Amino acid sequence: MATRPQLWYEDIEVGADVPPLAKVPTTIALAKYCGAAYDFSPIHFDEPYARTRGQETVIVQGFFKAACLGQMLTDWIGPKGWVKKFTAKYQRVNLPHEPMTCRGKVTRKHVDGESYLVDVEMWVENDQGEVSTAGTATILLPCRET
Amino acid sequence: MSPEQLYFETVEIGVLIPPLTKGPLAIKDLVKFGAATDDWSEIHFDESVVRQRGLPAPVVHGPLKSAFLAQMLTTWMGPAGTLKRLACQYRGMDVAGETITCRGKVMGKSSDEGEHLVECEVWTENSKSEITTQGRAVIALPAHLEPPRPALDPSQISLVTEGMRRDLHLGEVSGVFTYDVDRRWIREFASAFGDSNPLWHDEAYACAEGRFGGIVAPPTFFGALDPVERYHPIREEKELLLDPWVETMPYTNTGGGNAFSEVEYFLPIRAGDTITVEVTYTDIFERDGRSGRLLFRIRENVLKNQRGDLVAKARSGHVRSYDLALKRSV
Repeated sequence: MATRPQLWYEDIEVGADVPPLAKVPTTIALAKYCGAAYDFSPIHFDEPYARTRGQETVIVQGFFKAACLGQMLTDWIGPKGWVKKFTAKYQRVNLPHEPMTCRGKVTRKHVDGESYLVDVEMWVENDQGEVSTAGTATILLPCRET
Repeated sequence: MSPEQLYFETVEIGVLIPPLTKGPLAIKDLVKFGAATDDWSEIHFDESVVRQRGLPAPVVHGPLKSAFLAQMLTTWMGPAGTLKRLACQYRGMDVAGETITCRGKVMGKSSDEGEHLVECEVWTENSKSEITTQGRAVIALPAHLEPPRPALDPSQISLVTEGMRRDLHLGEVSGVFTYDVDRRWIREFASAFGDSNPLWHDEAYACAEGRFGGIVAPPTFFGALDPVERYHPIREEKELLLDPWVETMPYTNTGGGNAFSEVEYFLPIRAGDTITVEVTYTDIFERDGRSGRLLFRIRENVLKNQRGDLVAKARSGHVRSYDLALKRSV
């Protein structure tokens, strides 16, 4: 059986970086996402159409980038963590085959009743460091003392 | 509208089957078929791969042409007919932009042990009338002696009403949609962005290690459960479409898409859940931005599971940009 490390509330420090996640979305990945989300907006797979919309080629779905940010979080927090809140703002387009990196930073730790919570700021940037998507998340983590 | 029934007695050898025309086929049609059959070969959608291979345009899947021939046959034979056999040979390539016509001809009739069979030759033609697919089909038809089975009530199929299309119904639930979330869907969703976390696909791992003791969906799965983004399984449009007015705006639309998405979970989305999504538009407003006048529509989706428990609340914004200097005639 596969195993993945668990992150604990005590191990987190405010200001710490979330381990980044690098992605190079392919046109196959975009088409697969269209199928999985059943969203067939042609700007994500039809290059001639995308050009009529003023884009150089097809563009990466905003939700695809959100999903990569989600993966960065769930890779990090381990099987007993839970993403309780998640937000993403889509500010600029990304094109397929261009590398993008998901990054994040811990902004706050707080306890609400029995819940041990960590707030994160996160974003997607390209190779030039330009941010195309920015968001926040609140993570629920297990605590060793409980 | 109930489709007409074809009876064995009325079919004559040599008669032509009512043809079915498909197209011009868009790349979208090919991606939808690729998604439905899990065929991600790039020659069906990726222009750069298509060019590399020296093809004129993305290639129409052979099985899609078979599916068109099957549609011609099932439309012709009516609800009480059965397509028993269909065998096709793909003789010529068709590409996106092509219009395909399906044709057929009755070649033989036979009755055997109460089954009334009709044998047909079927084929597809491109716009130059060249045959690109050739096949044989056998269908079973009812005889007049047997009563036809009752047709399905088509009013059960669609949730969208004319009234909903006219307005966003601000502050009111404008549509309720239900989705069965199964393991395969969760796995395909995670695989689209290359997320191999076993929580999304490995029951033993999720059971032993996971917070929820079973397979759950990744955090952004709520985005796949949005009737405003999802295409209707039959009509070529979004499932919940409340904006016919976008076509009659007096200015030129220069772009658009999702502006933001937010979610708060109260329970996880689990494999095996039936999730009901209630959509409520909460706001529509405009402001000036980088790419002209921006028109925002904000909606809130409430997700509940099969027990009626609140699973998540999602908030999303969609934006369309308009060039106010470019008047357009409507």
